[in-house]
Amino acid sequence: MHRQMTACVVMVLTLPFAALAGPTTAELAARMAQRLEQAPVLRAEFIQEKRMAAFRKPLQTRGQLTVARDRGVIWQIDAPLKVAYVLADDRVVEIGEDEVAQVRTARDIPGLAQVGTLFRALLGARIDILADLFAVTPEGTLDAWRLTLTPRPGPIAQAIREIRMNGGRHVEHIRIEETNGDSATLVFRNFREDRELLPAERVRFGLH
Amino acid sequence: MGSRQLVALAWLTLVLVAAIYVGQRFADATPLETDLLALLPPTEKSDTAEAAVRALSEQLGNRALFFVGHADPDQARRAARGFAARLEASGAFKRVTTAAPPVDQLALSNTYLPHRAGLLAPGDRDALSASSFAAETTLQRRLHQPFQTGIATDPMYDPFGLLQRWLTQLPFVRTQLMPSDGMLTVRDAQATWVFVMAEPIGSAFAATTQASVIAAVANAEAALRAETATASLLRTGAVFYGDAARRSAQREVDMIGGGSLVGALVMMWLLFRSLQPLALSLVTVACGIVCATAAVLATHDRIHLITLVFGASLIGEAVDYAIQFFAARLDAGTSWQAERGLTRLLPGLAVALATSLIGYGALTLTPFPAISQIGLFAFAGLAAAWLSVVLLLPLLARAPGTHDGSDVRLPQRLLRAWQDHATPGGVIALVVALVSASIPGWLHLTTDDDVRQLVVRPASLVEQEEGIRVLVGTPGGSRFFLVEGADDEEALRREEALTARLRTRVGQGLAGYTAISGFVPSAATQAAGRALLQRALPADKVAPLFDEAGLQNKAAEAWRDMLGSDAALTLREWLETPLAQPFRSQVVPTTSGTALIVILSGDDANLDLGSLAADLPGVSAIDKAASVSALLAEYRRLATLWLPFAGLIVFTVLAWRYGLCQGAAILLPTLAAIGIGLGLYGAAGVSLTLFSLMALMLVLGSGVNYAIFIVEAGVCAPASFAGVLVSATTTLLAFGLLGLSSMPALHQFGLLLLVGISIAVLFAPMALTLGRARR
Repeated sequence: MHRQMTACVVMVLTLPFAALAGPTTAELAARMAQRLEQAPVLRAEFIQEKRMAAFRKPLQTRGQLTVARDRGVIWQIDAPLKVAYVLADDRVVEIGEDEVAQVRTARDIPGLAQVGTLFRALLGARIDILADLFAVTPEGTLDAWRLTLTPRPGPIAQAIREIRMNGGRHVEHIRIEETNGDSATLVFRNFREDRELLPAERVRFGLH
Repeated sequence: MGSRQLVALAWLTLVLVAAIYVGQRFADATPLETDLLALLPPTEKSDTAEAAVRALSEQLGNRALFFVGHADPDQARRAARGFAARLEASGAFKRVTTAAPPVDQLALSNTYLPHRAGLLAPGDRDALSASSFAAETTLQRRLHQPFQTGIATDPMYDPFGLLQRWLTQLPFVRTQLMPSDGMLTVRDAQATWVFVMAEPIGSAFAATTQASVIAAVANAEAALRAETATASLLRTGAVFYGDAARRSAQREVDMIGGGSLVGALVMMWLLFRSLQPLALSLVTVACGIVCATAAVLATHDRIHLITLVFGASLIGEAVDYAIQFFAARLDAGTSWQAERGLTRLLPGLAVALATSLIGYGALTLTPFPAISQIGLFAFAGLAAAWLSVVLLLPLLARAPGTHDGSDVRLPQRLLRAWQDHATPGGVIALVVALVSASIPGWLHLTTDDDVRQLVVRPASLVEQEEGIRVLVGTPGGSRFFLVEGADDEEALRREEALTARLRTRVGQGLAGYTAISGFVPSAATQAAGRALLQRALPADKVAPLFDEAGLQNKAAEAWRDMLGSDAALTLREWLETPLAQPFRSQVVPTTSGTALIVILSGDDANLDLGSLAADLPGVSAIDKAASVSALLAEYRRLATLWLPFAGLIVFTVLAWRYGLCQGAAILLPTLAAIGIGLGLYGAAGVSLTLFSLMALMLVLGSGVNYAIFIVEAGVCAPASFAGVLVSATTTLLAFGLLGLSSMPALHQFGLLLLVGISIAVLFAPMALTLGRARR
């Protein structure tokens, strides 16, 4: 399941949508499934901005993202601190500047698999998984789409009010509104597609 | 009216009273026991532990669990909603739940927030006390991480994420269930599965509950299939197993009871060719069954299914006494005088009854409710059937029987053939040869003390349960720890000592555990946590870090207030919160303080709980299955020791009536049967269980009957010998049918009885060759 999911993340981030007007969730999902196999690796830069009541000013984080089909996601923060999160099937590895890795598995943290699933589904606009958790309203075209996600009743609804995301060939922008008034924005740019993982990335995923 | 008539009348009255009593008990509420746990003896040393086992199994055991699956998540949810609504509407259930249990994140942090100073996750506690807690890095990473894992907390009040990590490691039941649209779901490669839980009205082990639950589920399932043909349904729960056990037992009672009855009637017809012996024999058997049921119901609340099934097979043995009586009447021909006939028969019948009662009496002494009930049932049943023969038949069968001798010609020829060809030396040589041939088998005998012998588990239910196990992991089994203390604080501290040890075993045959001290640490632990924070992260040290990270000034104030507060969370306070609701059954009030239950999850049964708990005060490892298996093993060993002793008692009874040599001659066929039977078991690789040893005891007690009957009848009583054959056939038919039982324990019982008694019957004429006839 995770393999498929990662594959879908890749697919959604990489594949262009045809110029079809008013896509339905089923069409979007079908289009993604259709184009699963094209580019195994996608890299992008991200800027994350959190606006929270606890902070005097918005908290900005910059870094790079690698999504690898069959493997997972590397979320490398470059500023203001250096730390990498490797999101694999059922675990999160946190790697500090000192290269000390901290592994947290779904066994340590109940719900981690779900959080990971949600995060990867968001990055990939993996609609069939998101539709389990949210009511999904698509707009625009397959080339320039917008999704509005409203949580179904449950724990997610307690924390998240709404998620808006848009993109075309890739997911370009995600905005998460929390119920307590806090919000987070993720902007992706400078997309690069590749067929192979770089050696350093392979190490991150624990491959040799 | 003579004294005989008076006694007979008194006996009939007693049987009638017993019949009315039984009728009344069954009319009130079917006093049938389908609870598998009720078959098991109390195994735990303390009452607290035994009560805890019961409470836990009742809490978990009464529920019926379902998963409704479909490839399309929306359809799965819709189908599950419809299914649940139909269950609800059926009125068979107290509660039908499809909603995610409300792990209210807000309530969770609100409960713990005021007490957060003393609450540290083990990893943080270790890092703080080792001074390796990197405050700045932890703060930065917490603020900048892309997603929050576990329970989200406000950075204002939890800047380092200490409370977040504490909340996240709380031992909520760790399943792969994911709340989705208010329902608990799990996905596998093929489908989305939606969880539905239903609590029946009444005990899952009551026949009425089972009937209404099964009907309601069948209805809802039919509707589910009609609306969504591609939906799948998985179910598990004690109510389904209980119902299956009850149904299979009823089927078996019909099969064994009906089979033995028809068999006995056919055999008797072949011999007697008259309706009167058949009818009167049935009367004596009926008296036996009625009295046996009355005896069990008078001493027990409920009658076990296993007893009922076994009871059905008792028909074959209980009819033997009447057959002997009527066979003697045939042999007497026109010279039949009922009283004199009985007087001649009585000693043999008495010895036969006595040896059987020795065997069944031994069963009543075991601590297994199921076996001792079988023992009591058989004891009372055989005694009553015997009394009915002795007290009623001489009055009811005064007229001589008639037969033309043709029906007994074949048995007579058999007996003659045996008599002509068998010599004492030859017979002994045959026994020695056969027993010697069995010796290799003995050396290969294996034993099996698995508790599952007691349990019928239909394959389709096991398959569905396995499917659920694959989807959501193992629900807690029957193994857990009980921690007792003089008060809450002592119990919590003792439990913490245990969990410190368990924590190192997670991942080694254990996926996790649920301990109350995981939710509410002891006051001592909370005080130590607070002291640690005051020392490692004082307010004046963290304030600049907060400022640099961009947190509001209020964060530093909140930190200062937190370190100053000393309100520990108490067990009682926690128990009041809605969060505690699912875990309340793990806190057991005892006469001497508080007891806490530690539940294991994903336990692969390889962990030695006993040694983990060994040197911890107040901690006991409870493993119901293992305890029962240990008890089975212990009693199997005892039964092995008791068997020769029982043989000695039987021999004493025989020697008292027949003298040493003749007694030995009567016992020899049965002893040979036991030896050869064991040899066959070893050679075939069938394991010996307590139940097969119990069966051996019965082979000893009942197998000698046929040698007794033959010796009593003598060579010149062809009808009596034919009677022995008829008796043996009815008994073998009954036990053979018992051997077909789906209940493993009864199957083993029946199988060894069949093998043992067949051999005993086959060799029974030996007693005549080696000894002398009585007349």
